[in-house]
Amino acid sequence: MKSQFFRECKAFVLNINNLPIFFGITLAISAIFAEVVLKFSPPYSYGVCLICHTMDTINWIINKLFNTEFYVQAPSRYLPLLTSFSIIAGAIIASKINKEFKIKVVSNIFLQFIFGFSVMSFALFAMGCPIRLTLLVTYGDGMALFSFIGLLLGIITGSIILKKWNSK
Amino acid sequence: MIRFISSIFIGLGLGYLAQRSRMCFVGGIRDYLLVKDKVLFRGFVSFFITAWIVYSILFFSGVLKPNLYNDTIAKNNVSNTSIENNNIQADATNNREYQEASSNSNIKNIFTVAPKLNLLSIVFLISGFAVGILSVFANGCPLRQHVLAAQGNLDSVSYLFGFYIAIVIYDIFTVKIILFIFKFI
Repeated sequence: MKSQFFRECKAFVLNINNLPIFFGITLAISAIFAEVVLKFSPPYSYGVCLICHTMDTINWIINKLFNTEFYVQAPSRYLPLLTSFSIIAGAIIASKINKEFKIKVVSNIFLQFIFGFSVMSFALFAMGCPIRLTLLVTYGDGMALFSFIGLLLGIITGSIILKKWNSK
Repeated sequence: MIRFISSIFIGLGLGYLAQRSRMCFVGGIRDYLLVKDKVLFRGFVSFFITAWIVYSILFFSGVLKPNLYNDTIAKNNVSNTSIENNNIQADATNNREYQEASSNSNIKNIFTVAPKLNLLSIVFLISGFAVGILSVFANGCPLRQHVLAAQGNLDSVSYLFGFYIAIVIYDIFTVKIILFIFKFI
């Protein structure tokens, strides 16, 4: 009886990495820790954002190379925040450890390119990626609530359209 | 320097966990609507709830003070604001009026920044809608695409190329075009 309980506990601890709930909690805590303690702060709730941080790093690199003056946020003036690029590195490490790394093509590459392009250029107007939008809404930003509601509506209509396509 | 190094370590940890849990914010809601699969949806909800709880603890303990940048934005023209919203955020926080307004703000209300219906909010709504619907068709939110690109999915790699080129084009062209359009409104 007791040994079975310990076995279940051990299995739970070993599998906790695979749970989305655990990921959500660590993401929220690390984003707010980065914002408050490590001072990623002047635009608020800027702890983790895949769009703003990539924009900052790319603008920083272009500014250094070509002496232009594209806008870079205050936390990444001196050295850029490399969160999004190191997320790619971390995911590569994880997939190499667990042997899930496999080069493959699923669907149309050109179409995906256009999707990436348009998602980025709309998200720059909507104040950030889904992660930063939820952070902003939980911060209490009423204006970000509009883009968050828009995001939810977009996801719902998109999945309804997908459902219709699949049923035909 | 501290920010630079710590952002690398935060990203490494989050990337590892994201690959393991296959987390996707868009995919959570999509799976729930299509096949009633709640696994990813729970991740999204837990993220929302923990962020909410931690922020409200920080506000009530006085560590964080709410900012009211949108009130200063509302005083300005709308034309300045919607284009380079981020610029004005950064500039507005340094204003003295802005800081006074934020110190007087009321936590009794739910919002630290009051929502207002104007041109800016409509731009937010439309662009948020576009992000949602496009990332459903692109098979995942930006986080998931980063992770898939790291797993060797060439579709997501081309998605990321589109991502980076869009930034450059935004810097060079989009800002100027929209400033030009807003002159006539």
